[in-house]
Amino acid sequence: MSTPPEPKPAVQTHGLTRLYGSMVALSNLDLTVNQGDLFGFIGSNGAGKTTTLRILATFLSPSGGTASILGNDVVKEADAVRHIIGYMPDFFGVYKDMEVTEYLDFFGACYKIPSSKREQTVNDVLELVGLSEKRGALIGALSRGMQQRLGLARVLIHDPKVLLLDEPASGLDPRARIEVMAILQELQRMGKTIIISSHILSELQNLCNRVAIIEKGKLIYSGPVQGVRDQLATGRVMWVRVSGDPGQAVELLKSRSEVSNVETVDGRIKVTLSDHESDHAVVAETLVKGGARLIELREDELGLEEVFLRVTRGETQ
Amino acid sequence: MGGSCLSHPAGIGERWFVATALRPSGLRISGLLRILDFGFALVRLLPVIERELRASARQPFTYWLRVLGVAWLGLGIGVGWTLLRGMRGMVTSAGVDQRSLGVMLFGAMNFAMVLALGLLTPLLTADSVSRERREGTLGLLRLTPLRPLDIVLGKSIAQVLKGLTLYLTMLPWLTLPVLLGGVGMAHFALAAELNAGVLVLGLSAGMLASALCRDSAKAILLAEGLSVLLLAVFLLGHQAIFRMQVVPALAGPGGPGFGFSLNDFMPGWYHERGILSRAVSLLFFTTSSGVNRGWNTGLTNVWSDVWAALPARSEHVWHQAAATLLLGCLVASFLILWIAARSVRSAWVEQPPSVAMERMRRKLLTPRYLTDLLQRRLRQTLESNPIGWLHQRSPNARMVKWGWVLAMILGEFLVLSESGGAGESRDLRNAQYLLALALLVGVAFSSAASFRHERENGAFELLLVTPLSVPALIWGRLAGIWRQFLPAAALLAIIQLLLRIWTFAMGRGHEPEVFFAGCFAVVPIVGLWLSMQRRGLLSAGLLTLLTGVVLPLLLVNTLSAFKLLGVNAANAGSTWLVFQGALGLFAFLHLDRALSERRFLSKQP
Repeated sequence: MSTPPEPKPAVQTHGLTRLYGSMVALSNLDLTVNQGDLFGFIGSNGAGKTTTLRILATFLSPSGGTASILGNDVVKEADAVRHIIGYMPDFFGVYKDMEVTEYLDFFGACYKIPSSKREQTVNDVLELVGLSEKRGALIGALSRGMQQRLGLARVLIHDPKVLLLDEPASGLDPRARIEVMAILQELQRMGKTIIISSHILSELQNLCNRVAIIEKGKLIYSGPVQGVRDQLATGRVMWVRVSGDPGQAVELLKSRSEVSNVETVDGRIKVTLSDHESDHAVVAETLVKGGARLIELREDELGLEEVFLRVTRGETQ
Repeated sequence: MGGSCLSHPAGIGERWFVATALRPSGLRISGLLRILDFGFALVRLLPVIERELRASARQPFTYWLRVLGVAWLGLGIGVGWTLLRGMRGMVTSAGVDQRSLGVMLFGAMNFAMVLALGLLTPLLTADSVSRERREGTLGLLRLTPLRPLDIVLGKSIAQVLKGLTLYLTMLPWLTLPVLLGGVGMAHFALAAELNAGVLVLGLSAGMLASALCRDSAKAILLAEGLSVLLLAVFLLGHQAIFRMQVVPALAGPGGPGFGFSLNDFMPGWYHERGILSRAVSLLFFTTSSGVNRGWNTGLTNVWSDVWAALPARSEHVWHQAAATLLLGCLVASFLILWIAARSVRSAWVEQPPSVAMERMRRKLLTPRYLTDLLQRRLRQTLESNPIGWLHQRSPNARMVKWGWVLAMILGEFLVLSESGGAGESRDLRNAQYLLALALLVGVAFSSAASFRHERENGAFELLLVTPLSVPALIWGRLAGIWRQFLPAAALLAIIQLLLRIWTFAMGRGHEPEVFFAGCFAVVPIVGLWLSMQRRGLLSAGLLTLLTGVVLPLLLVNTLSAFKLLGVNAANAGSTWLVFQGALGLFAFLHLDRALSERRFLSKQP
């Protein structure tokens, strides 16, 4: 069996540090984001997420360390980096008295896209973000969700390989959030590398394949979402419902060495397994063999919000 | 607590209603309650006043405004002194006659004070409501028991207090001429009455502009425009009330009648049919300035002459007239504030432009002729200079561009209406320089506001991560500003050239033209640089003018006057060029550095 190809890094930082006067906004951040990743960047307000993204976007210079995007140093090769990234800050940055196409045309000109190609490009990105029908509308008259989608269209106008999105779904209603997330998944399918910072962790856990957690300018975790769950979980937790008296089922489960704890909560049985290797099968087998009628068996997954709360202390700069 | 205070007025108001509606005989009680209601209304305003005063106490602008006021008066003293030195026979070898000095200084200082009050006080209120609208706090005020009029009145009272500090900073300086002699306390008292009228009109003009506009630059512009309009009405009102109340007294027993003309006090370039001359004559009359060629013998001014001519029993008549005018100003101000409150009522919640408004905007501002040419030119600009395109793309930008051309044409007509006066060609050239100065004010504020919009809407951060380099951003924007003002500047330059040919003055020194050309090149660079350094548009614009126009003028003139560093009248033009070039380079390098290192105040909505 052939091994999968080694993922190539799209974004790498080594010892990235940024000071604002005496305040340390980023401290020795080592981060690697692979090509094609949809990478979630998580942290409290003031943790250093925006500073990291601003450095990667060449807007800020680091006080120490290095950062590169697709092999280009963000300081020494800033011009090359600007052509391959699309940066969306946590505000819209729109001219409200411009029309939608005018706005994209302007940024297209800033990215030096030839005028012969620009009209088609504008049409394509508008279609991608679902704003084709609003091409002639004034930006000021667009809803917040539409302005956010326009921001995404702007980011895509020069077809960047890496997208840096700072809170792209903040302030949006649930429908608009879902739409934006769907666009991001589509962009990932198109092969883009996406770094997204967000506070809406429940959405990130379904969207991202890898995450980084940052607090007080320091990296706490970076890797797959499941990885951090595994690191944190002392044992897997199962919820069980049986027909009739749960007492017999509790006794049956207590007899197993793989089970570290059993308790009844609101008529349901909470089973804590002693290690990660044990799974549903242990619980199901025990109950069925013991004659209990199993109605429900569900694993209690550690959510990203829970993970975030456990690994961070809520400290901000 | 604020809450308990705020709960009273409604209750009192309710009781007042019951008292008046159900008990016709209870007039005395209702009157008392009405007074109490008014008292509680004032209490209701207190939080607004306190907040305004606290906020303004933290603003450096408040401090600088007072400094500016006193500096303005200092300029008045300088002008008075220069005028005095220029008058033959008044300066003896032994020194200056004190009474003459008093008369001249009073006129110059009061003139400067009225102009300062008329032009600076609207700035105090110009951004008070518009800032709340931009920051979204106006809607929050609606959740309180405050009514729109309460907010407008509360803010106005706070700004009146602030304006009074400006007024009281300047007023004592007017006693200086009184101490020197030549003018009496009656002059001082009359000036205090009249200038108070200018103060309240200026503040209310600023408040109305602030209620009507959301954008600070537009609010400031409108405030100044309204204030100038109100000042003109005030000056006309003063002349009218003088004719109605004071002239009859002059014609009474023992009085000489109105036997003099205001023309007697006008400078040499005064022309009876000229619009500018008429405006200046009104201003001179209300400020007791002018060149003092009064019909009375001896050195005096228009106010002294009138007082000297009034019969003893009716000496106070002019004070009464001024008090009436002040009362009129207060009533007019209240009406203006009421209109402002109505505007605030409709501006509680920011609404996108209505369909009808949008249709009208498109109808009025969409080009109808040469559209292909215009679009082609805009597209070419977008391709070659996207940042410059930003400065020219909107209908507003086109309105500003051609509005300045129109303003210059109107200005030239005003200047031509003065023709026929003495010293014509020199005065025409001076008027040209005034127009050029006005254009430079526009350039200064336009450049000081230039990157501000991008900083406020957040687009600046986006532009800085595009492949456009920082120098490209700067040059792009500079080109945009220059192109915006080029037609008006070119028009002025052509007329100046024609004027030189017409007056056979082609061979004379060209220092003023060199100076203004240098300013036109350098002021946008300085303005862009200072727009990164200063948070407020007003301070950025004023500093741009001071640095880009006043500083080179003062420095080179001082060097020339004292013949320092080899500078003299003959090489003043080239010195200006060198100095302005150095200033432009300095500003450009600092701007480049500020942008490259992101050392600017990043304000995001």
